[in-house]
Amino acid sequence: MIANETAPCVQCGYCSAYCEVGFLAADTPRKVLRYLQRDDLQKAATSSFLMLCKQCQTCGLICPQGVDVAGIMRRLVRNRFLHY
Amino acid sequence: MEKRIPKIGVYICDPGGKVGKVIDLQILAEKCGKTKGVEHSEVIADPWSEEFLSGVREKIGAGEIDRIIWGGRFTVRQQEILKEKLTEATLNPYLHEWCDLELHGVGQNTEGTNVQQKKALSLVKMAIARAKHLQPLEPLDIPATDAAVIVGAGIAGLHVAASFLERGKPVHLVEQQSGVGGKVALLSRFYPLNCDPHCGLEYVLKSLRGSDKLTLHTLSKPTAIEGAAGNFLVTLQTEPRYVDENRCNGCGLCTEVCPVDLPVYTDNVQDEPPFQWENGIGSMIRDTRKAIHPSLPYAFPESYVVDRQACPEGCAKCRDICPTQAIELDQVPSERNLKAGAVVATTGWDPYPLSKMSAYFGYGSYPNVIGNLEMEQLLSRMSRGIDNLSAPPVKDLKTVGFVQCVGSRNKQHLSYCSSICCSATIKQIQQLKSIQPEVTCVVYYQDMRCIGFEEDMYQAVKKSEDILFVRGFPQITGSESGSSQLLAVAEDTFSGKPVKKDLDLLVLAGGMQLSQAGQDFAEVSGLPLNENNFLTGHYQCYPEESQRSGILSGGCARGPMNVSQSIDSANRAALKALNFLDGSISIQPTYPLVDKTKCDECKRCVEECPFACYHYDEKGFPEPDLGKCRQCGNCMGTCPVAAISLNNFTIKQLAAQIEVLENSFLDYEEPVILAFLCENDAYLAARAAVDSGLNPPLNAIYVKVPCAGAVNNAVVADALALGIDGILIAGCSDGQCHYVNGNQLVLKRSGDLREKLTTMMIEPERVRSESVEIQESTRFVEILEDYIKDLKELGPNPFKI
Repeated sequence: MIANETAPCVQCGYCSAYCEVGFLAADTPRKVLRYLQRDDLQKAATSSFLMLCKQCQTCGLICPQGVDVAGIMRRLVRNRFLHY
Repeated sequence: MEKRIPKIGVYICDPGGKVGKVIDLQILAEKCGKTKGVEHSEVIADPWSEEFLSGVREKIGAGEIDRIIWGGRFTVRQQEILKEKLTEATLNPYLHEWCDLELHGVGQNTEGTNVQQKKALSLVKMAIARAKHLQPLEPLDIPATDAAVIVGAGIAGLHVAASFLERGKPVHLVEQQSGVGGKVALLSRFYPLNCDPHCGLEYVLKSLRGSDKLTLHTLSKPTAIEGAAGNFLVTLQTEPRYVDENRCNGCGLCTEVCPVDLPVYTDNVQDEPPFQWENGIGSMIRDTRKAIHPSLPYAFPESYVVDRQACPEGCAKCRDICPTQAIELDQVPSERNLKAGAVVATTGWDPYPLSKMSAYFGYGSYPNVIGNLEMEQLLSRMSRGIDNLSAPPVKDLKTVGFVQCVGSRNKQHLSYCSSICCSATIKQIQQLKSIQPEVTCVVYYQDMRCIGFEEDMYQAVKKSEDILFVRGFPQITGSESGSSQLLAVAEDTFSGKPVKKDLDLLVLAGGMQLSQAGQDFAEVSGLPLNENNFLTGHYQCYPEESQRSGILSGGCARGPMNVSQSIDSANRAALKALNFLDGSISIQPTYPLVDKTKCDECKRCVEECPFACYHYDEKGFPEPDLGKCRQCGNCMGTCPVAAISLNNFTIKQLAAQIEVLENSFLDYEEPVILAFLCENDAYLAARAAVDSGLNPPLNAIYVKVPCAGAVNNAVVADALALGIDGILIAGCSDGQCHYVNGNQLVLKRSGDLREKLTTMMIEPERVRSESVEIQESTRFVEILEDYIKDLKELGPNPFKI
């Protein structure tokens, strides 16, 4: 389900640049979406970026493809606590 | 209309002998010969032999036959040739009827030869019935004007004008600004040769300067476009120039005494008023001009123009000093009507307002964030050594950033790619580096779309170490040190690491949208814009067309494109427009006629015509404007009282064919289907089905229609009442109908049809509509087989004898 939502992502990097904490973890938010595009749910759900995301929603608002980036992050966090 | 007793000649041709192997053509010819109205019937070997043709001419000359049915397979070209050869014998080309046996599966295989024989007879009898109702027809010549009106005098419009003038056509070139040139005149260079646009503009103006066939209407806009191709009436509203164009020689003495200094705005035309910086006006460029100035954006016409609203009360210094008394400060707006055979819209583009992107890049918050049009103006001044610019002074530029795709490829702004910005940015970088070789440039991009030979430009800049490409978009904030620099932080999406740069100037490669003038034109002409809000026809094949015949579009009015593409597209529009500039318009005689004795003025034809070509006569009856009519037949299809017919495709002719259709060529339980196939798609699919050996079932009889929307419910109901088991209406798929929406109109009327059939105690399932595309021959056969199966379950039509 999350995989379908990342399909429109063109990896432009707007989300990373406008994210308040975009460069503070090992992964940028764009990279996390890339893990999902490559079907690597483990890497995405265990990314250290998820701990920094404060759901400010800037990423989703700025995304030119209309991807709900913050929503994906939120569900990944839940996924991590359930499975990893 | 003279009462003729038709004398039909039937010629059955089977040169390859394919059909003759399966059915007995002689018997067919004999049975036809016995039909009332048929004076002559024979099987012939070669319709092209001079012997045969002169024999036919003799018969026509002697009055033995006055119309011909050709049974057999003829290409469209062959049909035209036969018609031509017999026109010499005074047989009107509309008195031929074509009956294609092979299309209907006759001769396709050796099964069911009995059925094929009977079907062949049924088909020829239908052709005979229709032939009795054929009328001689002549094309109509409507006198027209050979003048053209071009709206928009940018590069595209200028090239269209030049093309028309080369052909000796009078041209009215309409421009809303005081001078020609449009956006190209605002550029510093254009790619890929990095030419100065003034050179290109001057060159095309050569054909326009001094031409006595060109009338240039500046400061003008069309406020109405009435009429049809060949005979348009365009109303122009013209604002006053306050200078007599015939007297002004551009000497410029007036500017020396004008007391007013106006800032030169180069910013986005559709944007909000410029922002206020500390010195007043928001723009990096501090150029000013006087209230009286040469035409803008380019000094053609050469006459000056006054920005009257900026004049101080009572000031007339310019008028007093003018050596040729050219200045007329009390001019008023005027209106005029122009006659035109064709109208070409070359209204160009406007920048997508960058103020809508202010959240992204601080446009409007920082004076050194500018758009790409403004960068052109900056470069133009820098290249000419002009230096009256504010902080940061451009001679101190160390690092300049360029952001691509600003506003484009964005679901919240412009969803499409604006085509030119990647190459335009590289062009700007090349010019910047030639003026200031030490400057560093950073390009923030997602994809670099330098198409075709523009790739060479990309390779050229990639060689430089001072030109960096970062794949990622930056967040822009004020500098951390408090200087006027900008801090740009982007993710380098290749490495996942942040890239920080301090920029002296940031150039946003903004998007292109239809200009305000283009939107106004669409409103005035009643033309719809496409889903990207541009003025264009069928994008791939006929981009210059519009729903009003004779109104065409060219250049960026159609979509984002570069200068050479604009010129190409302008010339295409000009070529197509020339068809309407012959001084007369020839109308094919197959236009619709309204039977005013039947019409009850329900207005349905007026509403449903895809080209809005109906108006009302003095008595309130609908009448088509033949210059606008595309002869699709949708009016005929929609009329609830079947009062409209196309010449040569009339309700009477259809009714006659259906009346003699004999169900008995098949067994009683085997359904007979009457299929109306649209000539652009479904009919060709049916033909392909037979030609590619798919052996479609023999149950269907095909009637070719100009559009699925031309099928009238009355004809359908009639056919079912006479015992035909099923009706199939096959047209184009959505978005592909050659007449905009004929296929949808069929569905719209199906509600009425169901009602009608239910009151006649006929199952509505006996009517089916399908979309069939031109190559879908296999699917066409499946549709038939499916329908046959369903009709068998339904059982034979209770009205079937």
